[in-house]
Amino acid sequence: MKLKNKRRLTQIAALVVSNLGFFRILKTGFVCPFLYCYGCPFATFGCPIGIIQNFIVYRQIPWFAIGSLGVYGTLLGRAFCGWACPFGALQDMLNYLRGGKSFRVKPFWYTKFIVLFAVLGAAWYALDTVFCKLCPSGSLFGAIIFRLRYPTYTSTFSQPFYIHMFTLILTVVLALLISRFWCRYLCPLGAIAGAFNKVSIVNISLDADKCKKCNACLDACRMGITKLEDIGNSTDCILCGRCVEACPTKALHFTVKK
Amino acid sequence: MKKVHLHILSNLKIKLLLFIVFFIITLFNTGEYQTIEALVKFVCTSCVGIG
Repeated sequence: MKLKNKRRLTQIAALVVSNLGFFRILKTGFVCPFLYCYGCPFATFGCPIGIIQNFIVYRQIPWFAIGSLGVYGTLLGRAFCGWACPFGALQDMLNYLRGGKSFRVKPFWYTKFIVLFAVLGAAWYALDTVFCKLCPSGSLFGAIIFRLRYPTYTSTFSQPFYIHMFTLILTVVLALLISRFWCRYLCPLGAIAGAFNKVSIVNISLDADKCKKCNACLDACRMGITKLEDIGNSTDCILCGRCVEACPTKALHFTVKK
Repeated sequence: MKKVHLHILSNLKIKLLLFIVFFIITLFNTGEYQTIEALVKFVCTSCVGIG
């Protein structure tokens, strides 16, 4: 099976597993390795960014979430973004609808770290989960699904809902112009997971002897990575494997250890 | 075979050590599981855009 099809299968599986909370006994206290709003009536896991914010509001350190994210990160780095995240899958779909075309824009790896610190700072100062009110993933999987699930309870539309819809539409439009816009520049969870790319046990490695420097891997990259040495190492790399598929000399491959 | 991406953090032992450290942090704080479970079961209405 091609990597592309494997990736689609895991993305569908992740969406199904994230919604097993449909059966209420399967609503768990585990930390989701990707951005999935637990405001969704069917959510199985807790969104890590939502959990961290909640703990900050109560002036506690979210050790369980930190440990869980560390375990996911040291095992797979940012691979969950490329292989599981439903919001990432949506952006992949948008890019597919646009025929795989995207504006070539520099990665600006630091912007998502600025967003991460802003999210943590806002939770500390406002004593509220501020990011959750703006999160486009929460808009799609929380706000919209909640309204579909409880149509009578939510018959009136309010300002917070319009804010959610605004951020979602804006992100969708930007994702249509720039592939995986949210993941590249704004995702605070992507910043945390990306920081583990250098120490993840599963990674992508380059066989320099086989590499012809044709840059087919960089052309195929949806995250806009511009240097060969950044593949598998940069905080932007989501280990999706598009570069592995694109390489004509099979110089790139997934490795379990380095 | 010459490999690119050589880095001190590439050492598998360090990676495994980090994994174990985070695993222990998770294991020693399982008490927070119920707090998170309660968060997942409770719907934050303002987070889903209601009121």
